[in-house]
Amino acid sequence: MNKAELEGEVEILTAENAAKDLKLQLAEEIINDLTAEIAGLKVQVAEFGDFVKEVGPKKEAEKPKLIEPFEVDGKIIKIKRAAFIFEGQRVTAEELKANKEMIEKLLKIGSGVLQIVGE
Amino acid sequence: MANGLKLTEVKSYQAYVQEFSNELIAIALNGFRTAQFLKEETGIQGKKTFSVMKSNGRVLKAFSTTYSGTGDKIEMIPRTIETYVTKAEMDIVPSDIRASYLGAFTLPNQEVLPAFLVQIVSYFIARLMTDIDELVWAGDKDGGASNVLDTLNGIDKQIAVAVAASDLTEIATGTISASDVIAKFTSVYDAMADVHKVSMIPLYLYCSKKNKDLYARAVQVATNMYTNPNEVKTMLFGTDCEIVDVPAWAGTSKVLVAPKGAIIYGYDQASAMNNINVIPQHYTLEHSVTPEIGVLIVTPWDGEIAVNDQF
Repeated sequence: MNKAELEGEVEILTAENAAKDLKLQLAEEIINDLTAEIAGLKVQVAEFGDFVKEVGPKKEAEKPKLIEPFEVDGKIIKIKRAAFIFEGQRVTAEELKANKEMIEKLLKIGSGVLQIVGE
Repeated sequence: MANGLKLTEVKSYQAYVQEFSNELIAIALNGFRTAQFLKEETGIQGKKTFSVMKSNGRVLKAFSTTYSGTGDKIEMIPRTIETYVTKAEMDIVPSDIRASYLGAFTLPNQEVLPAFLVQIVSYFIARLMTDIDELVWAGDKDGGASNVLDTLNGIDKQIAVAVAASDLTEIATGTISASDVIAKFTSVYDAMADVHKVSMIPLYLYCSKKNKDLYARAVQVATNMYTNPNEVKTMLFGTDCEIVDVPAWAGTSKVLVAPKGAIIYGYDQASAMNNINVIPQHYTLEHSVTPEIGVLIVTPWDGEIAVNDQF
């Protein structure tokens, strides 16, 4: 490699490095911008979430009612809760009373929402 | 009255405990297993009332030139935390230590090696931490336990009260096993309001240590991934919810999901009445400490916290 070729090589290398630096710089700026944006959004969401609550204690009239124990296949079933959530669905005690299959499922998993009286 | 027992080293030990008692009691009050996950409030003596803000629907309306203010859009709900004084006492008999196998380590003309006493009081504080942790969760004022658990209503009891009052709707999971732990943990998490799932306030799923371990293993089997790559925390897979084990729930299938601010752990300052008192008697060293503590689920309502049916 003669001197002219060497100088050319050096120039190319420098140009490549500059391009790399520029790419890195741009990439860094983009990442920084995105990070700042995400951080900003997160802060907004956090402020929103911390402040605005729409859930509170239920009024007495809104509360579901407990029901009396009843008999299923010779067993007295007591439903201890007026309502509960099972498999993603809200179920009231009245609805459970009418659903023998669900009663069996709940007894099988050892749910605390109902019990067989005397056991 | 002259003390029959030579207490030179014991007196220096007493000075040591009194000098460090604030730090030791601060460790006991703040250092128990679950303390870091609860919101801490100090300076509570007796009662303190907090206001929970609640929004009752939109305030933004279409424009018109008629002013009509609407009422009841913001509601303030008072919630009161109550603290109770408890106590821990311990006697140390230096002559008994001297008479035991530890006596061999005693230096000439010394009644007892003060290092043993320091070790004992450190262990006393460790036990105190465990007890406070248990009380905060399992305390039941009317539970008839005839021990310290009768002092205050802990988190479990407050959940049971909210459920019985239909303020909180249980998720019927039944007991939890390795085969269903993922689905059951997730079903409790799902009952939380979305606002808590995206908030930067930490969200925790509390359960027993056994069920926490079952979950981590089940996720590893199901996904071939750890719940958290750095393995420092166990996360509910695909969420920002950290799984926390509660020592008082050993052997249970209880599950609670709550953001950090939803449960307040309150106590008086770690000073003044909370000092560890060491009183040398004729033959014994009496230790006493009287921590004043309380706990409150601030928002025991559907969406704000979520529980399963094992309470």
